[in-house]
Amino acid sequence: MTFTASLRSEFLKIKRTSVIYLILIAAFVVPFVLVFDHDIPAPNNPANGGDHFYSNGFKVFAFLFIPFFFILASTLLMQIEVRNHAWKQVLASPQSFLHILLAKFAVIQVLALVFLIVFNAYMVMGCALIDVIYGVDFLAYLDRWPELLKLNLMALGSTVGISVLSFWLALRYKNFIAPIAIGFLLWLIGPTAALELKWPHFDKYVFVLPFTIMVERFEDKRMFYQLLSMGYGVVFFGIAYFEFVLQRMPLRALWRKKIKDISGDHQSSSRVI
Amino acid sequence: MLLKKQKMNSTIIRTDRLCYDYAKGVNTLTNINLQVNRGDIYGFLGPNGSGKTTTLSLLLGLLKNQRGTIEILGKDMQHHRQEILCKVGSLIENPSLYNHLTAKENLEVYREVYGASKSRLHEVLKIVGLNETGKKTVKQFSLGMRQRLSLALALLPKPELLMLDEPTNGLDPAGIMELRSLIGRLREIEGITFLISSHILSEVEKIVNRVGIIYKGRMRFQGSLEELHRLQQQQSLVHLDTSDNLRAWAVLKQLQAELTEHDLVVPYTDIQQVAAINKMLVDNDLDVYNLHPHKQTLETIFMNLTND
Repeated sequence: MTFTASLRSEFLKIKRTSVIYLILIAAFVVPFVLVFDHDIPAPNNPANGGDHFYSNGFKVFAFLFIPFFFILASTLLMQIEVRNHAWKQVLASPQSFLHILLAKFAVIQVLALVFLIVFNAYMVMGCALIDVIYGVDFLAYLDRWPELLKLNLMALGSTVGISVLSFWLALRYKNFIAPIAIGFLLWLIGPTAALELKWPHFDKYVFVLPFTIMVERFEDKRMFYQLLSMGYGVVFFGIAYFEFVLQRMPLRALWRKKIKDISGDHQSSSRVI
Repeated sequence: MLLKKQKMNSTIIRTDRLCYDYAKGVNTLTNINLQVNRGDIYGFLGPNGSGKTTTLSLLLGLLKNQRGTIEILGKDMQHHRQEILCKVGSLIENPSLYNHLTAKENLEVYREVYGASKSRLHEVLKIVGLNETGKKTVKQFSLGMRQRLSLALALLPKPELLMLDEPTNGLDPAGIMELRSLIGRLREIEGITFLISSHILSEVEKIVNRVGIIYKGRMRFQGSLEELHRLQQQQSLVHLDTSDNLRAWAVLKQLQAELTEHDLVVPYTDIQQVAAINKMLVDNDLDVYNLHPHKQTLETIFMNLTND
């Protein structure tokens, strides 16, 4: 069966689920707070206010909201199968294990993209509102859209590792509390390692990678962090895939080795055994 | 014609020494040699916890095959999983449906996965009588409706084989009868082979033509329903009390009579044989005080096979 059929199947499953509310509400928080708590624009530089408005909001969004979005969305998506006892039907359908996992993962990535778009839309609305109320020109920051687009793409790139890790956690635990609690603890390790323990390599920790996209200190190594995040993603996906498959298939079958026929009569006639 | 006959007689499921352990040292399944032929309605029977669902889960590739081989539609399950599952419909334990979706949307989730057309979707909904549920989501369905929708889902790929695990669970008597007639119709019209598991023999007795009885992970019986009936007849006993049980035993020795403390027990196959036994005793000047034929039912045979 084709991957598109698996993908279509996964998209149909999220119809009428709370994931859309998660996106609309979670993306609203940061712009909403900023509308009431924004800095005054610098004189003679109307765009500066908007820049500040956007960069402040985006830092929080990338470091806190995107990782938590992945944790919650992955859990929610897997819980659709768990709560409806539907895993067995999925696994008894003619889809390869790789297609099943990739389709689910692709849905989460698309949802993350929507999350980012909705956040940006709210930010534009927030700026427009401030412009109308205070007569400033926050929206001027949109003139630098290529830079903002790059920033958004980097945010997605830097969270690939987190998204796959959250996906793996949600996949392996039937209980919805476990992936959320573990995800939260793993996220908490980031600031603890940086601020309390002063661990020198904290910047390479998967949950800290989104922090590197906007901090000047890490400017020179941004490509490295993007690649590192993707590397984490590949490793975590590999682990998730093999764990998922090996629960259902012996290792030898993966390599398509022919199993030695066990000789013996196959009694077809009736018998009391 | 010959080809058609060969096809009809071909084996659709064959397992060879299938074993499965959930934990080390606990044998859930031991040497299961299952054989289901094309066109069969195979009743897979056994009490709760005997290993029926585990066997079906292994057949569908939901559990890792630890030992033994599984061949479905002539192909090895481990190497041709997707190919096989294209032609197999299943309903394992509870209905696996998305409660937040409608009946149509539930089928739509799997329609392209199975490569089924939109008309097939409407067709299966009509077969199970759920074509007019509209925008009602599955969470508003009764258990019977859910069970029927699960069946529609299992029928979606036009399967050659349908595996139903305890399909009558939670259904009322009318629902059970409806399901029975539906299975019969599907076998007739679509030529589907059925493997139906149940812990109640009487529920499937009326529709199956072949039976497998499993107990504590081991197959206790496998054969046609007629063969099970024969076994039932072989195990029917007549209890006798005569004026001289010892002499009566000598008279009936050739019929495998057994002398117990209180009476004489003789196996019989039909009721005419009981009359013949009585005549033999009377002809030998023995007075018959008590003659009690005890016919085994399929249920008691099933109970005997599924008891330690």
